[in-house]
Amino acid sequence: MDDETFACYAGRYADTIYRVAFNSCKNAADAQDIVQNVLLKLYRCQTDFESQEHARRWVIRVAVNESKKLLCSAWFRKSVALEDYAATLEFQQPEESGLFLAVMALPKKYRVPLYLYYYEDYPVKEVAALCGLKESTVQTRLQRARQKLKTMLTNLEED
Amino acid sequence: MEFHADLYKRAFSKLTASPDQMKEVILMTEKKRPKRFIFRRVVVTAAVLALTFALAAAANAATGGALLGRVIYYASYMRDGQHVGEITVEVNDDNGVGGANTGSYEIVQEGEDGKALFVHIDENGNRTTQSIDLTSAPGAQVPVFRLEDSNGGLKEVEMTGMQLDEAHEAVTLQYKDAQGKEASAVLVLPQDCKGFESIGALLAEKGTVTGQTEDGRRFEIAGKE
Repeated sequence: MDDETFACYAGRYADTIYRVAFNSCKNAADAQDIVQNVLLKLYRCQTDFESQEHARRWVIRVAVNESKKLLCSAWFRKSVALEDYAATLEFQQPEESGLFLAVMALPKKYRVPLYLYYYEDYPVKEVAALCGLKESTVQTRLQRARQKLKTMLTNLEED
Repeated sequence: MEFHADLYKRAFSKLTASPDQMKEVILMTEKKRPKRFIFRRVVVTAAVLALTFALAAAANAATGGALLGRVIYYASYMRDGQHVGEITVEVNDDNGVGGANTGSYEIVQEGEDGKALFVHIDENGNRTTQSIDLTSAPGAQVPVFRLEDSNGGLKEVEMTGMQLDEAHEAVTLQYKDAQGKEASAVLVLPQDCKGFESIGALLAEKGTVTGQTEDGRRFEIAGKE
């Protein structure tokens, strides 16, 4: 891949990779490493992408795989506490930070499908393909995630 | 507070990759010739010292015999047959002398102040010299490289050559695999290990470095135990 094309893709998809990675590993340092790894793989990739969407799916799929690899190794590390990191994100409203922390409190298996469905607007079938899961599993996880979030957000309001 | 897609998008749009890291990635992928550091294990004896190359043949082959820049020697410093300690000697090698596997090298101690001359004598008897300061040379950190094997564990490999890239963010390692064949791997340094001028300086600061190769294997770089 030539440098110009790579710089274009890197600028376009770095945030997407970061968000997938952060939803998986819950810390900024590991998420940054995953961004670097995925972008380096993108640079060395021999695939000719048919479209922007093809490239987007490719980086998301690799980001999901890299995140799984990191979690399987002993080398992911503790870093800044999530609340401290959330404080640096400049949320406009308390609801945004409340939801962010509630989502991060969900089990990891819910967070990545939730992100791909609600942020990247992928249908269930695509989320399943990207995560390497069955469609029924994705449906169940999204449903359970919504239920848990509803409970957490309700408790948050009552507190 | 209810959960809905708009709120989710607003919240998670705040997660963004570091702009500084993006610059680093772009720099790493720019096509530049990497700076080459070749590590040689040599034996140094006190007074008039003769140096031999332990890894010269393989490393020289890896570089095509044409090294430019700096050459670092890890030397076991001996006096009267007794091992005194380890020293690191870094010398300019603008003429590619360090890549040559011919001639001989000496370190000549000039006085009590630790000043010395690094002398290369080629096969025709021509001498080139360079002043070095043995007293301030950092303690040698002879790197040990371990790579993830097929069982998922970390196994030490026999290093035959190593180059730190121009951006000081990745290391290309040449080594012998389990079958004794020449192999190579690109070790991507973690964020907090980037920017060091040499592996020796990195290990002196960090002790041990862990991370992943480009092809997803775990690696570890440590000083000799």
